[in-house]
Amino acid sequence: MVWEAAIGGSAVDAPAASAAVVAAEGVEMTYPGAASGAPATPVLRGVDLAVAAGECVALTGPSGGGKTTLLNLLGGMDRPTRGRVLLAGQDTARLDDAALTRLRRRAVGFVFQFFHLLPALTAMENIALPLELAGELSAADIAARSRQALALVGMEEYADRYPGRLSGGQRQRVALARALAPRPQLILADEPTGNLDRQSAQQVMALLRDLSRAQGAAVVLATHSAEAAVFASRVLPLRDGRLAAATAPPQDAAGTP
Amino acid sequence: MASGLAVALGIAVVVGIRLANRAATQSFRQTDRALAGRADLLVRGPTPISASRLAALNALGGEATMLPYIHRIAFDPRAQDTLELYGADLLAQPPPAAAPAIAAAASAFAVRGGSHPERRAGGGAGAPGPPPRPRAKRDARRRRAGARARSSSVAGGRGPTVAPRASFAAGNRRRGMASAPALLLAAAYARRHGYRCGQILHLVIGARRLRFRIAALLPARGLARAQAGHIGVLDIGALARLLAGPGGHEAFDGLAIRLAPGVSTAAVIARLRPLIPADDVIQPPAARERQAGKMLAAFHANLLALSFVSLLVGGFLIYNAMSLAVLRRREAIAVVRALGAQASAVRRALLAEAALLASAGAVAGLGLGWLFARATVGLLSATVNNLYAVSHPLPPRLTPADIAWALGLAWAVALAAAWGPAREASAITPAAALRPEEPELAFRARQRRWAVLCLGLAAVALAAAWLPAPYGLPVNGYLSAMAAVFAAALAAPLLLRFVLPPARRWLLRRRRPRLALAAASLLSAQRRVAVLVAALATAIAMVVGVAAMVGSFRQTVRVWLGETLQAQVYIRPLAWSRRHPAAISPAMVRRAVQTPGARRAVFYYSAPFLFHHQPVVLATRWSPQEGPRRALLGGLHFLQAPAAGAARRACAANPAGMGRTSSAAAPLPPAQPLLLVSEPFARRFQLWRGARVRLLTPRGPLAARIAGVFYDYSSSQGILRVDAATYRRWFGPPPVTNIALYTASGVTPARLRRRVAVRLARAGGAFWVHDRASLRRQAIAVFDQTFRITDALELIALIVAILGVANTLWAVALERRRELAVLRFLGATPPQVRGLLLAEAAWIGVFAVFLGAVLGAVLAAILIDVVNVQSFGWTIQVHPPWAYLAAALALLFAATAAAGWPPARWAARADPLRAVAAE
Repeated sequence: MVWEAAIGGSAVDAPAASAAVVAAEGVEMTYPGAASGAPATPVLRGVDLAVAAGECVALTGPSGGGKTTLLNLLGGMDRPTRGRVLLAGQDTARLDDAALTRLRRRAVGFVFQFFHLLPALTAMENIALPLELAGELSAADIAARSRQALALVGMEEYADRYPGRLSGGQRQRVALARALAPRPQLILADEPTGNLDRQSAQQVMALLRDLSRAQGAAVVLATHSAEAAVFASRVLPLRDGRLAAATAPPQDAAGTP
Repeated sequence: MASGLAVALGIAVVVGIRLANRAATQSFRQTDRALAGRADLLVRGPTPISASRLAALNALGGEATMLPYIHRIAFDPRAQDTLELYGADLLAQPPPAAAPAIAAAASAFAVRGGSHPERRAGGGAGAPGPPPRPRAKRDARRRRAGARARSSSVAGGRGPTVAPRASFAAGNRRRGMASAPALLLAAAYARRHGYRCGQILHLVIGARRLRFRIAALLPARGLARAQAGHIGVLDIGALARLLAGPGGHEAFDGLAIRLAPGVSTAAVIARLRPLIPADDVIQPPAARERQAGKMLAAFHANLLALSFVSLLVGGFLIYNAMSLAVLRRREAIAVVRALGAQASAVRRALLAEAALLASAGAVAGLGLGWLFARATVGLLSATVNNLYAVSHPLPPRLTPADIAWALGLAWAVALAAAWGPAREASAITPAAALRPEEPELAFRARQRRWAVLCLGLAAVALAAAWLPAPYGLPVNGYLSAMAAVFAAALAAPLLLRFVLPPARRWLLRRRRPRLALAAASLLSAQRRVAVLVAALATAIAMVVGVAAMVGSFRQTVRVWLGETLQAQVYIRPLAWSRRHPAAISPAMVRRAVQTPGARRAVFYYSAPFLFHHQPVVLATRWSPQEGPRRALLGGLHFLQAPAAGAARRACAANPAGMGRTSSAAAPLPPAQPLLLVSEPFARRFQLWRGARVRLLTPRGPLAARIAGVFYDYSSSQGILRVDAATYRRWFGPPPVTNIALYTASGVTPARLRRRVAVRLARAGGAFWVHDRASLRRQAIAVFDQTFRITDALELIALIVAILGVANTLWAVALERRRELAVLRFLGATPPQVRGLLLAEAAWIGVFAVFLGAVLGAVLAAILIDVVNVQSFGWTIQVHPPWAYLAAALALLFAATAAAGWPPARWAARADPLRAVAAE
C-alpha cells in the first residue's frame, strides 16, 4: 500500500496492544445545572477504559449518553469531575493549560462529524495547520509531511482546493489527513461518518482504521452507526454514563473487517 | 449597535457643523436684516456718506422714505468684549428702515428706562430722560402726514439728518443731565457683564476712548437678539457727531430706503444712480445678505464637506454590518423564500431595517450634534471673526428643518449603503443557502469589474480636479475627492488579493504561522475585510490629507509672514474689524512716528471696497521716505511680478520659494496708476497681469491695468492695491488705518513697541501695538485656532472608523467561534488564538494605513491644489509635516491593532467544547 510506504512502517511495526495510549480510571463527569439551584447533571459515572496503541475502539450508545464527553476527556479537552485520565502516561488533571495543549498537540488528532476544515485554507494548508501551530518542523518538512498525508488519503490532486469546493467525503478525508499528519498516538473521531453517505462512510472508516494501524495510533470513535462500528476492534456501549461490557464488532454484509 | 453608533456620530458631526455654521454667521446676518428692517433698498459706498451729500436725494420726493444708519465695532475694555454700535433714528414712525427691534428699543427705552429709580425721581445726574413726549407725538403726526403725502423724511430741505429730532443726547443736553450720549444696551450684554441702567460705559471706537450712559436695556427682540446680544443702539445724530469729532464732518455708513406703495424699485434705482457717487451701491437688502452668505459659502462648504467624511465612514460600516447580517441569515432568508416570500419583500425588509437603524442613529446624532455645535460654535465664530467679520455666536438651535434634514441624510446614507446587501439577500434561493461561501466567491469573481471601475473613478477624480469651480464653490474639487475615495475603496479588495497570498507564503517560509494564518483568514473574507479597510483608509486619508494641507498651509503662511513683515513694530486701532476698519487720527499718527527710536514709518490704508458689486479690500501703502510706487511694492511677493527689472532679479534670489519678490519700484510710466492685485482677487475675478479693470471712485471710473499679482493670505476676498498718489487723485487723501515702524539702530523692537504703546495711551488713544515677533506668533495662533475644528472632525471620523474595526472584528470572532475552537482542538494555545485575531487586526491596520496614506496624499493634493485654490484663491506650497504624519500613522496602526484586543481576548477565553458542541 502506498500509505505503508509513505509512513515508513506497517501494521507489523505497531506497538504492543497492551501499552495503553490513553486510559480512564473511575472517571466521572457532572455538569452543573443550567439555572441557579438546578440539579447538576451527571454525564459519566465511573468509567474505566484503556486503549492500546493500534487498537480501534468504538463507543456507541444513544444521544446524550456521554460519548462526546468521554472523547473530550480522553483528548485532554476537558478535565473529569472525579477520577483521572492518563494520556500518553500523563494525568491530564495535573497539567496546566499550556502543558495540556502541548500534550494534545503532540499526542492527539481529532476528526469531527462536520469536518471543521478552515474555509480560508486549501486542503493542503488545512493539513499543514497543526504542524505550523506546533512550530517544530521547518517549512519544507511541513510541506513534505502535509503532501504525504494528503497522498495517504488519496487527495493529492485536490491539494489546492478550498473546502467549499470539496464533497463531504473528500472533506472528511482531508480532515483525516489533518489528524494524522502530526503522527499522534491517539485519534479521537466523533461521529466521523455522521455526515457522509454510505459509500463515503465506508471509505473514510477503512482509511481511519488502516492508517492508524499503520501509524500505530490508537483510535477511539464515537458513533451511532453500526456500519462504522464494524471497523472497530472493540465496541463499548455507553448508556447513562456507564460503559457496558465490550461486545464484538458486528459483521457487515461484506464480512469486514 | 456599533453601526448605529457610527451613524449617530456621523450625523452628529454634520448636524453639529450645520448648526455651528449657522449660529456663527447668523448673528451678523441678523444684524443686517434687522438694520434693513422693512427697507426695500440699501445705499452704501466704500467711504462714508457725508450728511451734505444726502440733501441731493431730495429729488426722490414722496416716492421713498430714507433713513441713514451708522454701524461701528466698539471694544469694551472693562469686559474685554466687543459690541456692535448702531446709530439710527430711533423715533422714526413708522421706522422706514430700522428694524422693528429699533422701534421696540425705543418703546423699551420708554418702559424700562422709565421704571429706572433715577428717572422716577426726576433724573439724577446724567440719567436720561424720556423722549420729549409732546415732541414725539408731533413728529409722529408729521410723519403720518408725510406718509400720506408720500413725502420723504428728507423733504423740507432739512435733508435726511432727521436724527437730532429724536436725539436722546440732545434731550439730555437740553436737560443738562449728562455729557455722555445715551446708549440703549442689549439686556443680554448688560446681564453678562453686570451693567445697569444709568451706569457710564467706556468704549473704544477705532482708537478713541468714549463714554456712554446706559439709558435703557433692550429686551432680546429683533436687533437686540443679533450678535448674541452684543448690541448697543444710539441716536444717529449723537453717534455721527461723536465720530466726526469737534469740527468734523458728520457722515453715515449707509442709507436704508423704503419705497412708497406702487413705486418700482428699478425706477427708483434709475433715479438715484445719478444722484449718488459712482462707487456707491444701491441694492435690495437681500442682495447684501447674499453677499455675506457668498463670502462665507466656501468656508462653510469646506467644513461641511469635511464633516461628511464621518458619515461616509459610517456608510461603509452600515454596508459591512448589513453584509454580515445577510451572511448570518442566509438560511433564514432561504427558508422564508421557500415559504413563498417574494425577493422584493426580502429586499424591502432589509432596507427597512437599515432605515430603522439610520433613524435611531439620526435621533441620537441630533442630540449629540447639538452638543457638538455648542462645543464648536465658539471656534467657528472665532474663525469667522478672524477671516471675515465680527460675529458673536448665538446659541445653536435645532429646528424642525434640521431634524428633517438629518433624518433624510441618515436614510439616504443607510439606504445607499444597504442597497447592495439587500439586493444580494433578495437573490438568495433555498439552494444557495446551502452554499455559504457563495457571496464571497461572487465577490471575488467581480474583482475584474472592480478594477475597471477603480480605474474609471481614478480618471474621474483626475478630470474633475481640472474642471473650474461653478459659482465659486469647489464642487468639482469635492467630486474629485469623492471619486478618489471610492476608487481607493474599490482598490482595497485588489490590494488584499495581490498582497496577501505572497505575503502568506513568505511568512510561512519565515515560520510565522499565526501571521500567515491571519493572512489566509483575511483572504477568505475579502469582502468584509475590504470594506473595513476602505472605511478605515478613508478616515486615515482624511487625517493625512488634512494634516498635510494644514501643515503645508501653516508653513506657507509662516514663510509669507517672515517675508512680508519687514518692519519691527505694527500699530492699529484697538477696535477694528475687516468690515469696519478705523482710521488713526493725524495727531496720533504724528505721535507714533515721532516716538524716540523709530527710524522710519510706513502707512497703510485698507478698507472694504466693491468691485463689480462684490466685496473686496482696497489698500494702499506709502512712506515719507519712499516714492509711492516703491512704497506700494514693499514687502510683496509676486505670483506675476510687475514688468521686468528689479522685481524679477529679486525673484531669482528668493530662497523661500514664495515666488517673485520685489523691493524696488517697477519701471512704469509715472502718470500711469500702479495697480496690483492679490492672488485671491486674480483667481476670483479671473483678472491677471495685464488685464484692464475699472474701479468706481468718488471722482468717476478709474481705468487701470493690473501690473502684477502678489501672494496674500490675509483676505480670501481679494485685495486691490493702488499706489498712494493714484489713491489720492481718485479717492482723496487716504486715512491711515495701520502704521509700521522701523527701529533706529540700537533700539530693540520690544522697546520701541513699549514706547509707542505708552505714548499713544498717554494721549488717550487705544491701540493695538505689536512687535514683529509677537505679531507673527499671534498670526500663527489665529491660524491654528482656525484649523482646530478640523482636528475635531478628523478625530471623530477616526473614532467612527475604529469603532467599525472593533465591531467587525467582534462579529468576525463570533462568526468564527467554531473555527477558532477547532484551532484549539488542533493544538493552538489560547495566546495563539488571541495572537491570530490580533494579527488579523494588524493586517487590517497595515492595509488601511497604506491605502489611507496613499489616498491621503491624493486628497492632500486635491485640497491644496484644487479645493483651496477654488475656495480661497491661495497657493499653498507643499510642506507636509512628515514627523507628525509618521507619528499619526503609527498611532493609527496601533489603534487599529488595539481595536482587535477585546474580541481577541474573548476568543482566547472561549470554551472550545461549547463552540463545537453548538453545531
